[in-house]
Amino acid sequence: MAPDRRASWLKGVLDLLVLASLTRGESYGYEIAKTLADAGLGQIKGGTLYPVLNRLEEAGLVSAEFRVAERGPGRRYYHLTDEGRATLAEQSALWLAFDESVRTMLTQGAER
Amino acid sequence: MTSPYFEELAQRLYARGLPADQVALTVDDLAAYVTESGTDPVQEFGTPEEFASQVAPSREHDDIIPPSAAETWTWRADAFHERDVLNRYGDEGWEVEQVDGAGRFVSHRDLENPQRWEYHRETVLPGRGQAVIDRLAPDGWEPCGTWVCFEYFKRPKAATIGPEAALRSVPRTPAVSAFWSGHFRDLIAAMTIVTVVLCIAGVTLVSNLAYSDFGGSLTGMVVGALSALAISVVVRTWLARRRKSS
Repeated sequence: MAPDRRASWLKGVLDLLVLASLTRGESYGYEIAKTLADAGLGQIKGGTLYPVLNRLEEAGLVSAEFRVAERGPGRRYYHLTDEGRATLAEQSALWLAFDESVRTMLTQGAER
Repeated sequence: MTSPYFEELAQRLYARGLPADQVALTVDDLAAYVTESGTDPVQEFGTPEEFASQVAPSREHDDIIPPSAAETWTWRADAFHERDVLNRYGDEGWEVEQVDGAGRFVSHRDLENPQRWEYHRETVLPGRGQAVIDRLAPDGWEPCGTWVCFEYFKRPKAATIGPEAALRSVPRTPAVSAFWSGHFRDLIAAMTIVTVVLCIAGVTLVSNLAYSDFGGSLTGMVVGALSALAISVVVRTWLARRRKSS
């Protein structure tokens, strides 16, 4: 039950988390997934992450560049655009307000 | 519960097989909600048909495979060309979840966000699996199955080509579930011939030992051994030539 619920929570906020993971500079798929995992958000599979990255890129919130690596076939690096940064700030505020409401309700529920 | 909305809703819930007491409870509850809130029931709950379908999904579809299962496809291919098959169907949105105990690729396709996948195979020695996984992970490769000494990896094509990897539409689920290459068929045919010849040689040997003198037995043994050796050499040479030509 718990893992399913976490997955649905994450679904609503994953795009913001991906944007947030790019605020310190460009990154690539595996590194983004690792950042999110290290933050305690669980292992995000490529099949979940890349559609989100695609949507963000199509919306102009991130831009991407494919670079050939020294070894291997190369990687696609993503970085935050100005529009992405603005969207992250705006949507993060909305999420945090929502989070606050949820937190208040749950805290009250736990105290009863 | 006198409004036409709730009358229609009740009828639709009955028609969908919901027990009468549950229909009454549901409709009374919704009617009370509307009375208290003063809202339009259609605005609040959708049309009676929509709401009924959410509360009591139709049973006429019970015998049909659910959409999620309909997009699951299990198939097999031999090791001579399974990477080609994996990549061909990866381009149609099929993502391998695992290789089952029978060596079949268990795959599914996401209908909401179909995307192209690519595959990679590594030959892995016992105990070296994790090292290979760690080496490939930074490039986005995730393990998706193991078969004997082969470790299979998958990666969304978006990792290299971005949004172009998304599929706008997907072909139908393939009707085929086994893909055998020409090399594999040839190998099976050759092995069958060898087995048959060895069996014949074995039977000859046994019958010679049982019914003939030592000279006959020796002849049988030599003939059997030479037959097996000759066939083995022919098959090996032939397979080597085929590999070179492919």
